[in-house]
Amino acid sequence: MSLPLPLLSAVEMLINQQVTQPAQHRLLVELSAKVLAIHLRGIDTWVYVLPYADGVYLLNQYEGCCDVQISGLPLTLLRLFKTGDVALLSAEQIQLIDEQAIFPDFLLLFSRLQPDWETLLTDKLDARWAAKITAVLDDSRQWQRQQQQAMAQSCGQWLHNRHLLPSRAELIDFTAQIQKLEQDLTQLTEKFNHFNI
Amino acid sequence: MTDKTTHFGFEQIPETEKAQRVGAVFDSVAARYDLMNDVMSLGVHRLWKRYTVELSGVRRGWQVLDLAGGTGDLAAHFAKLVGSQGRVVVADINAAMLQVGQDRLANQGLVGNVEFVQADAENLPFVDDQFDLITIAFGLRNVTHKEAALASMFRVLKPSGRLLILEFSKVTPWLKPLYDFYSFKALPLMGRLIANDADSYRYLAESIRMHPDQETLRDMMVDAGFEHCDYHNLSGGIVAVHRGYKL
Ligand SMILES: C[S@@+](CC[C@H](N)C(=O)[O-])C[C@H]1O[C@@H](n2cnc3c(N)ncnc32)[C@H](O)[C@@H]1O
Repeated sequence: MSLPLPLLSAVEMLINQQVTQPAQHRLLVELSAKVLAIHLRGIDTWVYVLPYADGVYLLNQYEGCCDVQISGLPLTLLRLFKTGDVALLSAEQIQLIDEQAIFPDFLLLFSRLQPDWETLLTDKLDARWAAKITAVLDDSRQWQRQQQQAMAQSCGQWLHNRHLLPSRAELIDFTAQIQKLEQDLTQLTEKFNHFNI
Repeated sequence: MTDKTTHFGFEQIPETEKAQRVGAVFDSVAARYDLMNDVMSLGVHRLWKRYTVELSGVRRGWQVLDLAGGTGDLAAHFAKLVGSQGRVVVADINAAMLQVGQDRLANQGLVGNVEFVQADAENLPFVDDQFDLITIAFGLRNVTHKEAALASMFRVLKPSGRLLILEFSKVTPWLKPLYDFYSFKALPLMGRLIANDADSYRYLAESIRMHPDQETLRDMMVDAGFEHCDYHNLSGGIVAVHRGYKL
């Protein structure tokens, strides 16, 4: 089984949005020749994490060799990535193989990211599926919102370039004219009142 | 002696004119190409490209050729994934499209491992057996002699390398009426409104219909020498990703 691509892209975008601090960038640069394979036991799904200087790629398929592999139940792994607690690694449900020494760096990277969906998934262990669906919907909505914003921005730019939208200067001028009109009207009303017309 | 003819959209034109006419289309859409791509596909082209990246099997250190690479969407993904040991070559016949791509990738800080080469897919200026991966996204349908282009790609691909072709294809029958309306009515209108260029967008819609369907393209790849050829339909066959290997 593989995760739906829109979902994977949405999660990837959420993660990459959170990469803002220099320390995170340094970690990414250090990890950027490495590949982490995550095996989600239970749903038997693989996700591959490929870091680069400004973020990570999350792929459903990767045919090359992976540097480190981790296998565990989805929610256990989420808790591990959320807390960054290496003690959880000794839990029997989690298996770490290959170049284990680099895993703490991956863990550090993920534990510094705190998107809302993590809380959604990890805090609602009882309502497991409900939380999952909420998270999926939330992720897709965020992704959609991002796409819409990007599109609105390009469209806005285009409308502006084609002079279909007024420029800032034109807007200021327009507002000034309205204010002047308002003042004139007030003065005129005062004059009318004054002369009792 | 009469000139051999080929199609340019639904029009028949002398073969010798096609490259120039296609060139004019992309000259005219280059500046607004990315915006139109987003508007026309409602952003879905990003997912189609993302899926192509998934199928590419791309790894650190690989040599990748993104043919007809235009404004560099796929190249931007590959540049991040091959790392500093790898190399991505964006080749396109059109200088205006290449320039937009070059500026865009430079803006994203992707410079060290990306090269831009003006080249015709039919006659690639690279030595044999050079690339681990070749991709051509929404480019093949514009090429006059597709067999020549496939042969050229086969030549420059390393043994065990793979070719991925992302291209519009034949939609499932139930989607056809809606798709026809969208392509022949809505698309040229959007082209007129957004890029002030209905003709170029009419050409794009017509060229999609003249492109070989999934099975035919797969056979063409096999004829060119590719092995283990398969294809994956996306969005009801609106586009398909063909994959083949040089063994
Ligand atoms: C629709 S654009 C696709 C651009 C980009 N690959 C993408 O997916 O966004 C088609 C590109 O094919 C290029 N092209 C057309 N004929 C070509 C040829 N014979 N050789 C190389 N590139 C060609 C055009 O210049 C144009 O940039």
